Amino acid sequence: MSEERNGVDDVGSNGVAGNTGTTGEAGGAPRWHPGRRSFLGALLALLAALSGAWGIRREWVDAIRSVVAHRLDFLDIDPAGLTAFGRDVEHDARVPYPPHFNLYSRMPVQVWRWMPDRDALARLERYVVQKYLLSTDFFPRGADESRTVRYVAYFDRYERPCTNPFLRS
Amino acid sequence: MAAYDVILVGTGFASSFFLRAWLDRAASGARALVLERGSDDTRDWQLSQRRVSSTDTALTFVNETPAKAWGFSVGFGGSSNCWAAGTPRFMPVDFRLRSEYGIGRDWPIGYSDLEPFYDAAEEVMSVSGPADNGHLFPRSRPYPQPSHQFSRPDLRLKSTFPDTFFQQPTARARTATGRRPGCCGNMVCRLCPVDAKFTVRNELGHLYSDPRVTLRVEARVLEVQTRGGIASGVTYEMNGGVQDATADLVVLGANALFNAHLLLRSGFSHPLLGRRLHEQAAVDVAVDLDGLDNVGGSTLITGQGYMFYDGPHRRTRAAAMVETLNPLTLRLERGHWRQWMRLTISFEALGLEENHVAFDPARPDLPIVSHGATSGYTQRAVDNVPALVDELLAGLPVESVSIGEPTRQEGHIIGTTVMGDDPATSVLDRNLVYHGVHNLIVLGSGAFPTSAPAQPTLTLSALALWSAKAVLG
Repeated sequence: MSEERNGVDDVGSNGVAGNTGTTGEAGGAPRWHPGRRSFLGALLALLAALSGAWGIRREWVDAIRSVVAHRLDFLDIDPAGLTAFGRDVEHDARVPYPPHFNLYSRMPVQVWRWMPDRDALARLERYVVQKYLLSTDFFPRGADESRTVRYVAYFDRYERPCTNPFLRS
Repeated sequence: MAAYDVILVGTGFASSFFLRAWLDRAASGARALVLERGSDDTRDWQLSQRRVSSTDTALTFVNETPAKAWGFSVGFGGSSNCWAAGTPRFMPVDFRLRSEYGIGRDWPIGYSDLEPFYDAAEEVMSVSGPADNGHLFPRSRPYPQPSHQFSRPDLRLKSTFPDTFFQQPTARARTATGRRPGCCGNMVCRLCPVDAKFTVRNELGHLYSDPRVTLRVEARVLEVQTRGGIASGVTYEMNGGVQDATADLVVLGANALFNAHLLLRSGFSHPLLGRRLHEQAAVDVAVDLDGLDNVGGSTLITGQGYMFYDGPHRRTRAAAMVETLNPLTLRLERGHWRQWMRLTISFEALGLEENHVAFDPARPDLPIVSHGATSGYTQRAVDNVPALVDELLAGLPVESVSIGEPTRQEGHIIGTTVMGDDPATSVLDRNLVYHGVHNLIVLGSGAFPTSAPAQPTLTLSALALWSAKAVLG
């Protein structure tokens, strides 16, 4: 097996989910007329540049929390823990933020799938949701959806090794 | 000019196993010089940077065919820093592909020649492996460590293929050795967070502290010197200066790109030198499972399948080996979080002469690497993946299957200094000695006449011990 596919990056970069649709992200996105899409892209780039100048990093954390809440809306999530997770994401240099995220972070996450950068946004969602679930007590407690999901610690295999919840059969 | 008994180039698997054997035999006053072109990136540095090397390998060679990538690591310990630590042996038939199937070339040695050295290499690496694969790989003693634990999908495969599906032999320790802990399933093996996989640094690093050994890092060898048909030493560059060193024995243990390039740069001119560059092809397969959780696997790669490896098909298409993997990835669908599995299917490749490493006097420091051709033998096997997958997964509750494109590299560089008994058709003899230069040894998978689908590292390590025994006595 190639080591490239077992990369050092933490959760989100060593699987094949992005190629295979196993996360359910693939499909469902609308087709875009090229001219309309490039015009929208240029507009987004302009707005992103302007919003970047305003320095609105705080919205990024809010967006991360929204991603988790939206994608896992069937779970009862401890809100304080989710806030703590959002803060910890800020210190993760491996989060795959897409271009123009200053702009996207201020949009409802529900509309991301319609954006020109939707593939990059989907990668971000996948990274964040996996990271959150593996940072909580959800899997150690048997993926029980009836219990409140509590944040334990930011999932990082170098900071907290030997915490794989799937070793037991 | 400094004089040594032996000069070794490189500090990866091949050099370090050879050095170990040399130290076992050397007198107290003997001297070895080891030259490593890369840096000594400590484990603390690796962890802090989350990188295995400070050297960007892309800058160390010219790739004329970028669609084909080459994976390796430069620095102390070589590619032991970045490997995934799969350590299967080759099957006995892999050494006689031409005799059995009329394909490729036979090796000048057989499985039984290498078996004691496989044993020794497995002992050094504390290899973990199953007890029930001896009918495929005759063994003189058990694996040093018990096998890793199958995942639930693996158990289904085992019940379907009891004689051809096993836990992967691996140097990701199952239990602690004296120098490293057991694998605890972090699933990031390139840089193991707990140092559970074998590396040169963690198990053989002490060799380089032996008073008989002088290690120089960031020391790049420019030339192998010869005089009157024998190797007399090397010229190397370090700290901005050029130095010479002489030795009774010169051992090249860099990878198959650099060994061949160094020899070409030094004026060696065997027509096959640098030729037959190859490595296995591979395809990744992702499988969504219906109601079966992929849990319980105790390490990244748990299963290894030989159901498509050997047989009459090998007359027309390449052998295939299956691996099952357990990366820490979720299927982001409610209630189906772990209901998926990943496979890698690897295929043997043939060394085609048009695929090569070359020396360009205009760019003397960089191997020029070209790999534009894939054999029909391998391609036919790759094209057959859908049929293999159907047969493989027949006993599993499959929801959907996604077959990827062939991967760009497998981290195995093979060919370029092929071994054989006939100097007209091989660069090295059966003991890895350069034909006609009795004190120049070229180690590594560059010597392989053919590549089985199995990973080459254990075999190249065993070959280094075989060569040391033959040359040093």
